[in-house]
Amino acid sequence: MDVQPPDATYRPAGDSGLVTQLLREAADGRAGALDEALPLVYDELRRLAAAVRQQGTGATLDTSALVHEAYLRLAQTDGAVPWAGRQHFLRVAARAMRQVLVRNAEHRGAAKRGGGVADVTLADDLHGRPPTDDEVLDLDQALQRLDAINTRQAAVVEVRFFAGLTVEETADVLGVSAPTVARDWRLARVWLARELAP
Amino acid sequence: MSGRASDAERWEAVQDLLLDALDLDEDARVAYVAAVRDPDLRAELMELLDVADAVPAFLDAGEPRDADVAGRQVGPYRIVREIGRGGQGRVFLAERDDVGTRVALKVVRGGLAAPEAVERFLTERRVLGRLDHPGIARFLDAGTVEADAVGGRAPYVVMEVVEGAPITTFACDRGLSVSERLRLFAQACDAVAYAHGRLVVHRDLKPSNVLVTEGGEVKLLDFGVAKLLDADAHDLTRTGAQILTPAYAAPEQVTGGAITVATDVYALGVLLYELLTDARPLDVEGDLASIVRTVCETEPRPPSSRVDDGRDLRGDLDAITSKALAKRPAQRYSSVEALADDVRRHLEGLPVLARPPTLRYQASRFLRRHALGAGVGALAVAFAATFVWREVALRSEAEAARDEAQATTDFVTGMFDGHTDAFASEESVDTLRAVGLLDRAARQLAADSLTPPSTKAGLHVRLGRLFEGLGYRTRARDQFNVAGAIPGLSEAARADVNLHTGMNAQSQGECEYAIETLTGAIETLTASGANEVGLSDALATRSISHACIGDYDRSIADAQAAHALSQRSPDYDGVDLHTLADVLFQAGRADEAIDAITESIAVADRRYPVGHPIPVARRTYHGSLLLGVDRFAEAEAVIREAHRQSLARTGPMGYRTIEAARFLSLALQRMGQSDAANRVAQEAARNAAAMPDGPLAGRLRTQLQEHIRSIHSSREGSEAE
Repeated sequence: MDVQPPDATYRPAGDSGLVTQLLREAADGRAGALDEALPLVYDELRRLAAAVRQQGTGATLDTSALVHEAYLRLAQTDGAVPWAGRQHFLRVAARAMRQVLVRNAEHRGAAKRGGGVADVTLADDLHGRPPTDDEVLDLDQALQRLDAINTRQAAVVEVRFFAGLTVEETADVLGVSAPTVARDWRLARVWLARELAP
Repeated sequence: MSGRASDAERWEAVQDLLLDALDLDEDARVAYVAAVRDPDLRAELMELLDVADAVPAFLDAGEPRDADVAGRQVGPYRIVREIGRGGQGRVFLAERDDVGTRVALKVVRGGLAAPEAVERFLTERRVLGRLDHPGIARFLDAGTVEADAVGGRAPYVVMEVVEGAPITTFACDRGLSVSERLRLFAQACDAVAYAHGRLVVHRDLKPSNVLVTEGGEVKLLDFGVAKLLDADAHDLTRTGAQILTPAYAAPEQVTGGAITVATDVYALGVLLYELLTDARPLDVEGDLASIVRTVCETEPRPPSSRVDDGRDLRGDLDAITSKALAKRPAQRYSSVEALADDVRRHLEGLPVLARPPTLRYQASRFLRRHALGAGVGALAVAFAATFVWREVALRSEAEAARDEAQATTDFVTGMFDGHTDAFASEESVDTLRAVGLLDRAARQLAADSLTPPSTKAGLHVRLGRLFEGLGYRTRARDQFNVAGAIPGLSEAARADVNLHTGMNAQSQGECEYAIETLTGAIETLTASGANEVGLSDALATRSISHACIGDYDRSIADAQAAHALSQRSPDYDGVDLHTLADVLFQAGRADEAIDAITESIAVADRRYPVGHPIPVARRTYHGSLLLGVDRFAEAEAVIREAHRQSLARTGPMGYRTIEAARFLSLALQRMGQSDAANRVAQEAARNAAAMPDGPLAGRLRTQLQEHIRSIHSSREGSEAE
């Protein structure tokens, strides 16, 4: 795990209180609260990634470490994120992470060398190899199609792949059992393999 | 939008199949896919399986890695090392910590999804635990273990460790002759037949499951394990899913048909073929469609054509393998025992049943058995010897048939210790084996034309009585009918046939026909006065027939006459008093009935040891009469005594022990003790499930199921109030 502890160059965004509030509202069941939190979490992740980058170690970040670090920051700043809020955060963070990676890939595709965007990859110990930019984009598209036929399976892939959650964490976040997650993951991998086949 | 919806539906439908198939190895997947009947679903599944092993590496997360498993704990077992890996999962050598015994432990790939699947798995293992045969690796234990990788519970089975080589390898390494191979094969068949008798089908017989030890003993592995692991196969599309090895799969396994003993017969046919030729009968390879076509349509070449010198195989062994490998289950040997019998008949030079009994064949058999064939080629037998030997051969076959029928009846009668009634037998009768012997004896007797008519009829009647004693009433009737149709019977023989025809009709509930034939027999027997036992039997049976049509006066009179006649014999055990009690009770004279049965118990107690099935049956019956007049406490005491005595003498699986338990449960139920009633009934049902099979066991099981249902429904009824 190559993530470095963020230092003083990182400051929590001023609207992290809003994130917490939205998470709380989501926990209370307000529809739409998570969607509103998404752009905020996205910014948070980018800022966090950039802050780590600035330390100049050249370390690649893994999404899982980033997401968890972001959460810890949030919880520290605003001490009172409810448990359900954590689950909602991770769910939103996975979506945000996906967007970070996708835009990252798009950006590099457009401007060859990316400027200012954190070089985020996926953890080596979990994944066989990091995906190429094209693969990230293809996966994003395939996940949108999977979402149309089986929302839960798409969600399982999103949180496991983009936020690096374990089976148990994923089960917690999605509110289903661990065996269901394991099953969905196995199935979705095969489904995606067909979609991604050359 | 409808396109999306149908994508979603297709994906939904294929998921369970996909998960199952992912757990199988390459070969088994092909067969599994073949068994899916819906063509769209099958196409979808094939498409997905094609890419399943080519998941992009970057997506390749969350799959378990092979960690070093030594020292890991699975239930009470500690893994020592891996000793094998197959389509079903991994096999380990393991040790039980507390006792230190070494076992083979197989952890199965994939989890058991539903809780009820785990439950069924655990039920099934009890049945396997009762398989106790020297040719079957002892099944020791089964359970489930938390499998984090699959997020469910993975089943494991524990078996005796067997040191041995696959039967085919053993045969080659030792350079065994054809007859040595056949003897090994017959040994394997015996073990399979034993398990079939306990309703366990193997489903995955192949050389790696049929091992031979250093000492030449055959040991079968994984008996019933395929079924056990398929315990969650609940829907029909998965019927064929049990097939694990296409080369040994029967047509019904690749087409999703019913798996029966015939499936094992087929796999044994493949094994025999391989033992004889070192080749498999069919080239089961290629894509899915061609595999299904090959298994279902291609006729294998005869074994004799697959070896350099096929003389030993031509004829019998070609015929035996061909019958075992018949495409349609009904055309194969009806049992593994029949297959083994034929192999042994071949070894002994007797005619095999797989071949049509042509004269030439019979003659050649005769020659061979008398060792005259040694210097005489098959052609010479056909041309030169036929005329000379024909008559001798025929006579000899006929004599053999009669001798065998006689020997069989003596043998089976011997098993019943002088009684023709399996109910009264103290031995646990291996019904299926007995019936197999009797069937063969009956066939041979029917074909025999040299025995005098009355003797022949007498033998048919005896065979019929034995069938009846085993509970096979239709087979019994066939024998009586055959006997009755023989022309030129003596009057005594005719009366005997009528007596048994009548008793059989009665047992099948054809009361009027029974009265008619019995009346004929009674007239003849009364006139001759030579057969008092037969006469009292006829009277007692006619008594039941009269009761059956509501003619109680005649019924009671017949029973009393039968009893009076029987009493003259010093061996009389009071059976007619039992009949008398029965008809008195039906006539509404309960008190007299109870007196009669009490007297019959006293007679039986003097005649038989404590716990013998006959006095036990009468005590149980006595209890049932007491139940009938609502004397519950007395009934319970009487039945409990019957149960105790029977348990002590014949054990928990004795027919009468289980029957007494059923009545005991009934008494408890009537007394309002439904929990106790349920406990007794459940235990009885478990014991009944472990009894040797046959119609008696079948009847007991059905009665117990109905009774347990009635306990449950009456409980629900009382809870609802």
